[in-house]
Amino acid sequence: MRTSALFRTMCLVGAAGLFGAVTVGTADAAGLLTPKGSQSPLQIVDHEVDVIVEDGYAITTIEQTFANPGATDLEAIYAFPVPIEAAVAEFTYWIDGQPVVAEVLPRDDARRAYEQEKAAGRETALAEQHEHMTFNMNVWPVRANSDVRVRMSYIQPARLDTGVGRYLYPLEDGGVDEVAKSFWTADAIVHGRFRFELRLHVDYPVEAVRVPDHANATVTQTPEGAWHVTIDNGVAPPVAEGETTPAAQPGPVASLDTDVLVYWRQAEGLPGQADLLMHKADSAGTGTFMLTLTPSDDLPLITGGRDWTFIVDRSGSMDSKIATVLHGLSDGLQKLTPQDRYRIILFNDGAQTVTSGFEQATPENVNRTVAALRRVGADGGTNLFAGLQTGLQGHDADRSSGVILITDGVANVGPVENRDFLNLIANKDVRLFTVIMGNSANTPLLGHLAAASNGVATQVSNGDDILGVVTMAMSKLNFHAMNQLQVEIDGVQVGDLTPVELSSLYRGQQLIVFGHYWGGGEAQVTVRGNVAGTERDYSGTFTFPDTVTTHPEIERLWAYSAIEDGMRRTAMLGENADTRQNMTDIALEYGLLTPFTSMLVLREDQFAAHGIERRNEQRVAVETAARGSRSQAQPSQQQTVVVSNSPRSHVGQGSGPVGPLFAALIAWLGLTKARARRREQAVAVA
Amino acid sequence: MLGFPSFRIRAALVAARMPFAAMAALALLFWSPQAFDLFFYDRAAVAVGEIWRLLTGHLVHLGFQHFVWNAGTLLSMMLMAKHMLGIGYARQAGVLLLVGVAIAAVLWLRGPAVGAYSGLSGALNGLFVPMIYATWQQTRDRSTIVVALLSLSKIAYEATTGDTLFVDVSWPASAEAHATGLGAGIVFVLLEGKLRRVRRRGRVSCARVPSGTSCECGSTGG
Repeated sequence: MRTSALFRTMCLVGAAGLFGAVTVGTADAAGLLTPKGSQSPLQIVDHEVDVIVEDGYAITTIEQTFANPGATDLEAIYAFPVPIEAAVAEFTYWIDGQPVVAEVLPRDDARRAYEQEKAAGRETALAEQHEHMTFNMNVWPVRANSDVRVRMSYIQPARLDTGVGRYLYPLEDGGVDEVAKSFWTADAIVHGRFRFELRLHVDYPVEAVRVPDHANATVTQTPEGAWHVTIDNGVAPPVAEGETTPAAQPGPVASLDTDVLVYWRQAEGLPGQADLLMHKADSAGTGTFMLTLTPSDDLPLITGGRDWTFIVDRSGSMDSKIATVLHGLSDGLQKLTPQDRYRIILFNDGAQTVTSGFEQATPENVNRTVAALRRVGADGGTNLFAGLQTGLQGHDADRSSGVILITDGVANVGPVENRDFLNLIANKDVRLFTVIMGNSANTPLLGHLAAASNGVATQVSNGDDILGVVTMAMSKLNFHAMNQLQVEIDGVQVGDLTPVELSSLYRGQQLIVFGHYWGGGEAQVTVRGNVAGTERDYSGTFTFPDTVTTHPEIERLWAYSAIEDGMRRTAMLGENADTRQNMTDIALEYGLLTPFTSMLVLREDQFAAHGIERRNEQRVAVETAARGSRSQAQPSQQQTVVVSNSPRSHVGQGSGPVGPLFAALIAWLGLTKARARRREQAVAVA
Repeated sequence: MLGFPSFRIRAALVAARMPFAAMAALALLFWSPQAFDLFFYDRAAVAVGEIWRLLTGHLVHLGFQHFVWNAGTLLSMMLMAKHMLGIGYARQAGVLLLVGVAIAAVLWLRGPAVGAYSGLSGALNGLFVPMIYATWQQTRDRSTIVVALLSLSKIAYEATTGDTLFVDVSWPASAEAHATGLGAGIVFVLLEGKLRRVRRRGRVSCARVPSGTSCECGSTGG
């Protein structure tokens, strides 16, 4: 019990630490990049974001206008943090007033073609992924005294955790990319219209929607039960379709330096459920499915003392956060029971152990450790390897162990290859929980590390609801996890399941699996697992149709997940030409922006000149049409089977503050009594 | 006998400080770093024996706003109930205890759907009922009925829409705790009324016993 309290405190610490980074400068935000020391007249005029969350995934579309009030033509470079599990599906650049959809090419080919077109003076645009950190858009040219318009669209699973959905539009850059920081400054100011709109059309009842840190957000619910979130700086939109001139009325200036977070809470008491979404354009072809399992709240409690190891990043990038992190860590230690043991490892250029091995969590030991932590500051590089290596040593096989790693950065001292880290955790009988702070940490590596140890990776944004993070972590670690997960489908031929290796399922988590199927018909879908030594399964019957075309986007989600598998394999086994080629082929076939593939826009006639097929344009047209038809229909487009009548897990409840209405009622009561007393006194006097 | 008046004065002084002492206790719990984790209603912890959380969950709060509203309201309600409506602190404590137990029972019976709970507002809703009843009894002012109806409407609105004035997704305000508080407050008023009638009947029947005959019906006889 206390140990979980400690973990949730650590999550609090991790999240709270981010508050220190709220005051980021424009260099640590999404924005137009300009080489340091130079001044570009380019401006972001409009920045409009439309998000649709429906049936298990979210589609985000960002439309922007860049203006060049200067006298010479310029290249616009816009960068923003890579969203979690985002498969970029569309990049569009308006040329001569007409939208031109990008095609996906191998990264080097795309860059070469872009440079050629640029040199030839023709309009071109390029979207690239810079490692795990940013998506970069290059647009050429932004003509003198003119503007350009671009659109990017990406799709990502919309998971529920303990009954709470979370959507993050990342804008804050953690500032951990020292090379980029030394070269670029980012202008995050939106001079015209800023609008963020999210529409939530899900097939389960939603009780509440919340947008922390954006007081100007309006949240409304339609009579049909859909929810709309709008953040708008009040600047009027362009008058007509295609017009890109900035609106005349000035409005409040927006800055792209604060993440937008939206939470929604499903109704309580819903049963355990399996949902299946499918797409199959051709009865003789390959179909794609997306299976989402939301289990009941039936995992047993864990009791007894545990060993906790805290590995905390104290490198220079943690400077604004370390005090809060350590303060929270101190609070967390004080919540341990004497049956628990703990040790603390800090790392920057090397690793330092604050405690002498595992210490019993007695008040005396804890007080001594807390006093030692007060003297710790942040500086130096990030030797994550040393920290992790130290933290994974010396565990007692007879006691259950948890290792909590808190970091905001990227390893830059000591071994830095992903494989080194994964070898380190292989065959260790510990569960690693990683708290990933901000949008720029090495999320793929930290996620792989957590998955390899059957732990959980939690990403925390500055705008996150701290209590939400705390509550969710608490509900997970109080209970056993469902391990050794397997998905079995009988009745239909299936294959290419991804993720290939399923991690443990903790309380409140959903399992999402993608796959291909051939033919059609009824099939029994079973998810099996092991909970504290006991077999458990969830099962239901679904119909796999011969053709179904309502959700073409899930093909890209399958492709993204398959590429993630490849990345994980590469991280484990090292760079492999076959794996890399396989990932590139999938990205090219399904039109995805990845570290190996980029999206390129040319003038329509130049696609043919470069021998580039317009495959992504066709795919985007199919997806856009499907989205249009879905918006006319009822929210639910997926098959749902109840797999257990027990309710799923749900967040806790507060009594709520009584609030002004209640206070007003009390005051009213008091006035009533006072009035009556005055009347009595008047009668008595008379 | 000589010390009796000073004892009464001391008792009166202690009583006068009761609401402030209650508020100070809530503040102490709020600012104590370990209190929340130790005392909030945590279903899993209760299941393994930490049964105090069933009641102590009412005394700890999630955040400053949560604490300030509830503690401030408790202070004003206690003072008003005592000095304007004549509801003594012992009766107030009785209501709060009954309501606290009732809410805890409902939370527990709801099963895993409610894993955690904290805060005093459910209990405050319970204390509000005898205050409304006492105001009505003492004033017969119809606006008291409006207050009662508004209280019911507020809870009905929360229960039907799932929405509250201060929606927090992570720990949503519990309409059922408010409703249970109100229900338990009504039960308290009804029980108190019943007890009062029983006592009154006792007094009446004892009064009818011929003088010189012993009365066995209660302490008020004679």
